[in-house]
Amino acid sequence: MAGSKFGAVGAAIWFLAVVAAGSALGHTGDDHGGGGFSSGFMHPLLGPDHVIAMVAVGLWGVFLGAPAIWVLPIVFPLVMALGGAFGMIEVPLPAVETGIALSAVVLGLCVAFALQPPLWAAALIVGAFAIFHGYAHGTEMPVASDALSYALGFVVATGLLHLCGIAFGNLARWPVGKMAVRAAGVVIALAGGAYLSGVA
Amino acid sequence: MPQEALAHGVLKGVGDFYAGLLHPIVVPAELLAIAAMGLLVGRSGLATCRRGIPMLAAGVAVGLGLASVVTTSGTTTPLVVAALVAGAIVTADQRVPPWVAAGLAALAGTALGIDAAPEAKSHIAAVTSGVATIVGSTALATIIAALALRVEKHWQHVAAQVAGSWITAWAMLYFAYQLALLSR
Repeated sequence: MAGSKFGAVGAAIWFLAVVAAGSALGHTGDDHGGGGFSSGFMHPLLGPDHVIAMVAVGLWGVFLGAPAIWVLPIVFPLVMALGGAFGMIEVPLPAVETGIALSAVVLGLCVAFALQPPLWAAALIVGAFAIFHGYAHGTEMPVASDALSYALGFVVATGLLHLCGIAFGNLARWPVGKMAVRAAGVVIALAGGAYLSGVA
Repeated sequence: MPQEALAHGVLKGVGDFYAGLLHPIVVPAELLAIAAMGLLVGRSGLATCRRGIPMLAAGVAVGLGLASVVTTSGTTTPLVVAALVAGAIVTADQRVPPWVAAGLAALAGTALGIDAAPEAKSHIAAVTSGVATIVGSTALATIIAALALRVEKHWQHVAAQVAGSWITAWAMLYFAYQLALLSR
């Protein structure tokens, strides 16, 4: 069983390595999008407000338990892509940055208080904020970028941030770990508050 | 010195065989279309694999053949359509009848074959590269389908759905991007 898990991890690393190897392509990228993976991958990672919110989704999923822990990371990329589509085709959406900062506050508090609402309510909260995050990615997507690779990069990075949150959230199996996870929720909420108030 | 004017470049320095073999792996649209098809036929059962994978291979061969006789372009979109449909079905944890998967695999394979058609210097090089592309894409689809077919544990089941979700999200973004380009 351990072998199969190592195999899955190895396959994931292989997949990322292959897709990230854009510079080795004979294609220019204009027709296939060979070179934008790294910029798309780094985009969510270079925005601390994005990072903490994505990790918070994973952490909250741990407190929500099954099936939410797995439903949220499956649904989030789809809703985020919808938000990205809105951003790219310039559908008006007010207060995007405020929405992103607010997502860190709300999701951080949900983790800090270990809230366990019904699945539909959790999905609604996470989905609403996913629109804002996706919208920001969509509007900031460079016109000249390799669309395919860029989009793939930021979807994968977002998903991996969720997985980081879920992995860290697994500490909640132990009492001390549970406190650590809830403390992380407090830190995320405070950081979100700093972005919301303009301090950060 | 003037350089070769290749509209559709090949992997440099690896030889015709490996250039063809690696093409479906290093081009994101082809890789994700194959991954989505592999997941779809694997999750749909052995009977679907038995029809879907040969149809994919046949599609690639047809596409390569078509590309050698007619000039084609814009094959990325059919690849992404196939990935989107297959990814969405996998995300929704649905299974499809073998004929549906076979049809989708044939579409994906044909688009892939056209997309991966080599611009080699000689017929022998083109055939070598084309055969390698068929082998590479079919092997990759078979491996992914076999992994999906063997899904037993809950986390493996979820991992397949997550992969489907990522592929679907990626395809949605691609089409949004195309729409945005049209409107600009």
